[in-house]
Amino acid sequence: MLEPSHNYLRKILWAPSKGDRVSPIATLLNGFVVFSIIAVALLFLLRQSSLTWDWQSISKYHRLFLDGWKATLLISLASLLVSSMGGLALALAQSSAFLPLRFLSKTYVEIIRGTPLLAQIYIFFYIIAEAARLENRYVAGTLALSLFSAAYIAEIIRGGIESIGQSQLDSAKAIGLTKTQTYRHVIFPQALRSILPPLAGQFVSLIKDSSLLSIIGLNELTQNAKNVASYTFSNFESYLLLAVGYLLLTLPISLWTRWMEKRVRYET
Amino acid sequence: MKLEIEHLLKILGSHRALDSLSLTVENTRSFVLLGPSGGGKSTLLRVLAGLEKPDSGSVRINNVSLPDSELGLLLYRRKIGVVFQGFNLFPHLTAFRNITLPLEVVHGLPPAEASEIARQLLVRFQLEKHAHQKPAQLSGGQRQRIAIARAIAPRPNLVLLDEPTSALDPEMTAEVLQMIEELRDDGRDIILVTHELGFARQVADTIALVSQGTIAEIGPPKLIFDGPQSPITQSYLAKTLRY
Repeated sequence: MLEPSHNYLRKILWAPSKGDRVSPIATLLNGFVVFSIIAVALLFLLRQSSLTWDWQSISKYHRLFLDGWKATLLISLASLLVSSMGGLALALAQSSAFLPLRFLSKTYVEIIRGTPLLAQIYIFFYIIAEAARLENRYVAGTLALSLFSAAYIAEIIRGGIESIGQSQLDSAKAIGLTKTQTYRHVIFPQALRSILPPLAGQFVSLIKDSSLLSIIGLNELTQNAKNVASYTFSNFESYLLLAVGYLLLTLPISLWTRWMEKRVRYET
Repeated sequence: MKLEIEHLLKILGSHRALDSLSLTVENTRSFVLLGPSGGGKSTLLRVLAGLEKPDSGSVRINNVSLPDSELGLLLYRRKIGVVFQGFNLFPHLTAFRNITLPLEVVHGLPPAEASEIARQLLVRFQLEKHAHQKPAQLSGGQRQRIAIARAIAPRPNLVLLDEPTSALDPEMTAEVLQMIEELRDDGRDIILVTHELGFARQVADTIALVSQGTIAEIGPPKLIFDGPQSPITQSYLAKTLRY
């Protein structure tokens, strides 16, 4: 090798040709570089600002943060599950041959996507949950969030289903698969590939959107952080902790879907 | 195979893809459909495969009418094998799984039995080293041979092939045609849509020339190639054989 040092640097800084993996050393070193840049930038910003940090007073309220985080975790998990099932049902309804079902699903999706979540939460809580005598505000809040997210998930799934070519459907039909078997063995496994990235984005949004449930008085992370901030006047500390709390929930989702994406990857 | 078609009509959009098509074929193992593109060959094959319902007319195969109901058609499709021009295989499954999936899911075979059938077919057609590759990793010819193996795995009595070599280069075409010839020699009935005239002449017992949604001419290969009566056949052969 004539230029060893130059070559090493190139291997670390530049991505290998398509299909090859980035080496673990390059991953580690680049990760370190990015981390350092963020750390230096943060330190610089903190020095420039006239903030004085007061972790002491909010540390008394650590239980509130923890309880809020747990509530957000539970609300998000439940909504994730309910909205996935709802989204799937809505997506299937949209490709149904029974027209009233199809139109109902389309109308639902348009109304939900066209109105702010804030308004939906109020309407659901004060009108629908009230009429249904649904008294538990956590259940009501989780349902409101699920109904909202389901509309978006429905569109994501519908897009995935429609991305499957006619030749694949013909093939499935020709080998004698029933409609259900075609969905199970041909459409869903193939659609998953295009569904996963936007679905991950929607799940992350869902977790963050759960913060809006504070308006109906759910003691989730945002509500509790706001409360702590007003008790202690430590706004920055509280909101910083709040940000970290959400990141702890959203990062695993992103990492999990990336891993799933690799698993379902195949060339076409 | 005995095939009787009467006044078959299939309208696609505003176009009469099949325009009162009638034919009778008897004592035929391999039946080849020739004709210009857009003439209705593929539509006819799709009707025979139970993939499209005709708007009117009747089809009888070995004295049994093609079913009308969705369920009847589903059961009918399970008894025959179909190969298309391209993109037959499921890209998310390996070649092996492409063959075993219908055996297990559609025909209810236990996985071990399905695997054994798939293995034997792959060995027979010298495809065993591609068993665990996905379609994107295979050549067009290999893909089409796997597709044929999948179609014959449930041992159908009738195999329909819709231009199986149209998307292939000459070398791949040859390997696929050889496989089709073996099917015929196995004693399976085949109906083939193709543009490979030499092959048609060699394997066909009966050839029909389909044009403008109807049969221009039908008969044994010798008659079609050596003494075509219909001007449509004459012009089709003249154009196709010129180069």
